[in-house]
Amino acid sequence: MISLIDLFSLPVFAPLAIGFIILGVLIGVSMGSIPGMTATMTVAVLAAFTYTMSPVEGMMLMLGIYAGAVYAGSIPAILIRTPGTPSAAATLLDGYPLSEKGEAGRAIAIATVASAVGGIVSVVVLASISPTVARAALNFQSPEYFALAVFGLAIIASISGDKLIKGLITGLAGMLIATIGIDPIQGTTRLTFDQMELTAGIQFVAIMIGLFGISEGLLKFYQGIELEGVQQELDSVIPSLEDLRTISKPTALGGSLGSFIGALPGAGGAIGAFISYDVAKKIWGNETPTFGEGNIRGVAAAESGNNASTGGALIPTLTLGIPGDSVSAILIGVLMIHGISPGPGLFEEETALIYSIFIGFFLAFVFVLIIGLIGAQLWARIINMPPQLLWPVIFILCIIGSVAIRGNFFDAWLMLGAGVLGFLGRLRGYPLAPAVLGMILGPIAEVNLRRSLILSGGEFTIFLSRPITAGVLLLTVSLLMWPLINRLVRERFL
Amino acid sequence: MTAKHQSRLVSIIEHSSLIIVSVIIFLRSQRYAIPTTSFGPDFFPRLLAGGIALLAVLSLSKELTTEGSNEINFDAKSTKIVIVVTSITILYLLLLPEIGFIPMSIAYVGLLLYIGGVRKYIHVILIPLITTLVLYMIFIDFLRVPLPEGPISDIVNGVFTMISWGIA
Repeated sequence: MISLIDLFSLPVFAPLAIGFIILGVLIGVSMGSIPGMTATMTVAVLAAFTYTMSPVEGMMLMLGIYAGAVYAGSIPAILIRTPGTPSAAATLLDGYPLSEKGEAGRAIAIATVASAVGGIVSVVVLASISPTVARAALNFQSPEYFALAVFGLAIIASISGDKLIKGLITGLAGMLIATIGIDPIQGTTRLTFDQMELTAGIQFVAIMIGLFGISEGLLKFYQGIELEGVQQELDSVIPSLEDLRTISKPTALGGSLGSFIGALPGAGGAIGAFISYDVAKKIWGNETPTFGEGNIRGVAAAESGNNASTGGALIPTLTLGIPGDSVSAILIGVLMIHGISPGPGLFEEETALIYSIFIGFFLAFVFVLIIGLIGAQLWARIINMPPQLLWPVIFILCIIGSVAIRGNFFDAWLMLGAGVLGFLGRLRGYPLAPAVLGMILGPIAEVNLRRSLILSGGEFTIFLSRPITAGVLLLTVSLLMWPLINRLVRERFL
Repeated sequence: MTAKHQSRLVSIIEHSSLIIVSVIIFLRSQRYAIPTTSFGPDFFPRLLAGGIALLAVLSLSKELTTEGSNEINFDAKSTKIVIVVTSITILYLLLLPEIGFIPMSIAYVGLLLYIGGVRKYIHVILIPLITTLVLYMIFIDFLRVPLPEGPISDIVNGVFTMISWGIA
């Protein structure tokens, strides 16, 4: 343990390091607010600037961007139904309905508080139990990862509402899209139809921009864009005490779940957000307004789970050198620029850096809270613009954002194709969120299912003979059966 | 044709398309099969394609037996607007590498504003200019995204760079 005197002499408390955290949060929030500008891309683009900095300063800038961008993904999700980052997809389920009711300021304030609290909870988890959780995650093998992916996919059932079959179709379609490119086990090129650009796989952020941005825009043009005109409640950017009381439990739930899920390599913020949202829906689903129609508990659970996954993702990154998500993979690169290799030895050799990371990440979320609440009023005004003026700007942002991801126009064409398909799908009642879930979980499910079956010689009993796998699968069945059980209990006893 | 028949026809076309695409993918995936294992690269795409086809059949049978299952019916006038917006976007993407980011973006945003119902000339002129300037500063100046600059790039970029310096 580090003494209190040593704590305050850590390089994180130097004015320059604090300045880099604030700068990072400002950049992260600004970039994350733009559809298509993911935390991964912003961190990757700016990683080069850390060459000239000390390891602590460089990490502070990166962590500030990470925290700011992951939080800011909720802003376009709430205002224009376009998640700025993939992990904010769950936030729009209740955030956008609030925005449509003229309460975007309130939704952003809730998202800001939940993001900051979720992030802070995850940093506390990171700092306190990281070695234990990391060890547990390291012991996970293919059957456990497959069970976890199935657990995540079961959420499609609850986010599809009364359109379960169509939700499952879009979920499977998302998983199918994710199989395009090089097969992760045998290396065979699949479903590219001789298109070179598809060999490296589909850039799912581009697909997501199309599904949520362009399709929404086309729907606005279709429904008559001039009829739009939501006035936002701009004076509620500081959440009321009642709202804070209401979101306290979902936020704590999201913080805990997100931290745990984020610690599992590859799980990431989207799964953390969707699982937190889903569990909150199961617990508080009977409250009004119902989930999906602007319930602040939904926004809080999703955002808290999303941001909590960031701290969780750093657990295997720092202790084992295994990136928890794509951003933490870049963070490993930033550390390696300075000759530092993340792993178990880091806790003994670079104590000052490790503690600086913990404290710096904690401070980043404090600044997210301050900057987010100060700026919330500003961002909520975006949607107050006449929609005729807003949508052309969103269209061009979607196009340029999709080009910016990999610097090629192929992704822009994919984005447009996904947008048109998404528009047609929405006209025909297909929920689009399951497609995103499918794209994220599909590769995890495939690799681990195939590996497990190859290992077991084709025996499916491998998934039942391992306690963790069986437990997670049992949990999945319970999750799927929950609406039925809930209804039966209500009919019999209430 | 009544609305009910039209709705059924759309439903049949929609689900048939899904089934056809699934069958194509299922068949295509057979090419990736490896004789030594049942769980090769073909396994998962075939599993998913089969699942989609099965669900499409279920969904179709449900829609054909349920009244009023299609909430939104296609409307000719609105469909025309969507086709125009999509076509303009396709043109923007096609011409962007030839003409360049700045003139194309100004024209694209201006056109979408007009289609969206904006008739104030000040809005139709100023918003595309400001949007393009801001995007130029973020993506080209700051993030160095390789957006095509086109043949008149030297003149236009010079003006835009001066403006962005002035703002900075």
